[in-house]
Amino acid sequence: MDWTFREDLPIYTQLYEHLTLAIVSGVYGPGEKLPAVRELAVDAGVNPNTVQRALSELERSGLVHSQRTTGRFVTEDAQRIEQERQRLAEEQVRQFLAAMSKLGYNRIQTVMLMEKMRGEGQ
Amino acid sequence: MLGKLMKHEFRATGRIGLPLCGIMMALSVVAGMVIRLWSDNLEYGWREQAGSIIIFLYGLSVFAVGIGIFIVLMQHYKRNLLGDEGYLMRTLPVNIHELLLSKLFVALLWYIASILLTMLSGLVVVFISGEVKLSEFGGLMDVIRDGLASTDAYTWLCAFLAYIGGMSLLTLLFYADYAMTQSFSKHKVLYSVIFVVVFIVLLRLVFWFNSALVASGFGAPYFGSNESGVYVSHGAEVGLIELYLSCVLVYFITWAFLKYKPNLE
Amino acid sequence: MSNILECKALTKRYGGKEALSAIDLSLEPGRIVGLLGPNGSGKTTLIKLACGLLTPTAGGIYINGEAPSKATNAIVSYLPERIALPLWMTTQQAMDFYGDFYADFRRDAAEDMVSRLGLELRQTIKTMSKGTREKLQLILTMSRAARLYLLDEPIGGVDPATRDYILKTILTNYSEESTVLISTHLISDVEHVLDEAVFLREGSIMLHESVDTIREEKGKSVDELFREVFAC
Repeated sequence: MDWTFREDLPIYTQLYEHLTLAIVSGVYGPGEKLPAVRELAVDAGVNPNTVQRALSELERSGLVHSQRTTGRFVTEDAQRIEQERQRLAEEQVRQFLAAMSKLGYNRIQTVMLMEKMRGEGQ
Repeated sequence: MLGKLMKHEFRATGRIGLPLCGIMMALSVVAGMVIRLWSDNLEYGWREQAGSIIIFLYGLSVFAVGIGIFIVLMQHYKRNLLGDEGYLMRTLPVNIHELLLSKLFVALLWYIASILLTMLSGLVVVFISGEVKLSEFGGLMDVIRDGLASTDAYTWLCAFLAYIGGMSLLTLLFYADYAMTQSFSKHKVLYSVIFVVVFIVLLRLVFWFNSALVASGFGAPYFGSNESGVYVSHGAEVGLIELYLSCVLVYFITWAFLKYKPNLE
Repeated sequence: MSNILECKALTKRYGGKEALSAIDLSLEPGRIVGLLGPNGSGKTTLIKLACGLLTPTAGGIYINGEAPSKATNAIVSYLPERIALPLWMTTQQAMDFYGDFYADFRRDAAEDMVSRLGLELRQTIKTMSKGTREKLQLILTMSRAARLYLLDEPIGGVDPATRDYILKTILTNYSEESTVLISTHLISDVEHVLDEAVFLREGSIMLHESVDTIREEKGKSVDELFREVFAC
């Protein structure tokens, strides 16, 4: 996985986003075991406590559950993962629309532009 | 930990010390053989020329063992406690006493070993050269035994203690000197010389009463001899006490500098 | 004792110059802490005081509640700025040395890292490049299961690949109950691995804060904040 971090946000929130993306995109499938904290920390080149914090947040959000001795697993609840995927997709669209609005495009114009480009692409 | 430190000291100093001793022993064998060939032949040819060179080299190696080991030990002390290696040595879970004593003990063992080895190498030369026949060895032993018998155990003990004390003081003077001059960034050699002189003068002043004792006739010379053999005078005890007190004093000066004025480069 | 390292009004003067001015600092176990400051700000002095290479002029420094001594040296693993290993030693002898003196030395971990680095056991340190010597010294330091690691400029003047190797070696080997203090003036290179940052300037602590807090509250990286604090 490619680990790059922005400078203006805490590392753990960025790790949280990274891992969420990895789960919804299937890098870690439903019910799959996640790497150990130390392993993730070394891989990402970050502090293990930071990884711990990000994983705790993932647990709170219900995407990950931990089994006392064996480690952490991605939830088997496919619906929950789908829901998260929706949330991320909506977030992307919201950002895109915000950017378009800055360019002076309203929603209808944006959709029309997308339709036009789709036509050109074929 | 003292044992482990000493083991490490031997490993560090033996790298040069052992080969030096090995060269001396090897040269003593060769020198002995050269002398044996030589004595059959009176004319001075290439063989004799080569022989003289080998005997000269043997003499040089005896000198190298005596002085060389001392230099090796001092250089090692300096690099190990005051140079870059000090960062490793002085953060070990040992105290400064253990560091200093391990070095001093190993140095003393080297001095004794080098004397014994030099004597052994001398015997090797003598026997191999054929100057002394093995059959005469018994006679030689008798001479040594007589010599030992005419000197009592107490005198030997005093002589041994004087040697150990003297070499300890010499070694510790260098230790203290290096530890002190380390504080100066410039003119290290000059300060070094000044400190040695000041040390010696101070030691004499601290024990000024010794000369008074000698002058009063109590001391006389430490060792003397009469028809019954070598004896040791009362002055020797005073001298030994003085010597060992000097060692303790110089030791604590070194210790204090290493502890409170640690200046690693 | 909860604090692994504690400084109380710690002062160090060299001649007339004050290298550390009455600093107070407490470090808890289980943290990776950056000791950050420009050259000459007192980072090395603080580390040398913690491992007993210097004695305080005033105030005190305590490792696990005790002043630096032979007992504290047994739980502190120190990486000096320069190569302190005797150059005549071989890799094998250097590991023997650590094994002899440190009860917490993990020989198998050291051997594993040495072999992965491709070092020969019989190769002397003298014949190694400067970079390899530094890596070997780091391997030996991190192979100890110490309570406190004091790493003095471990990434000063190395290329990015070596920097990653060094940071990964630190992250892989330190135990979660131990504390790692990393001194450096290259903040952006280490800030992702830090829990806390301590800013040192002319012998005084300017800031001691969790890295997450700095990013959350100030909305900027530790490196940016550092540039602001020290810009003048």
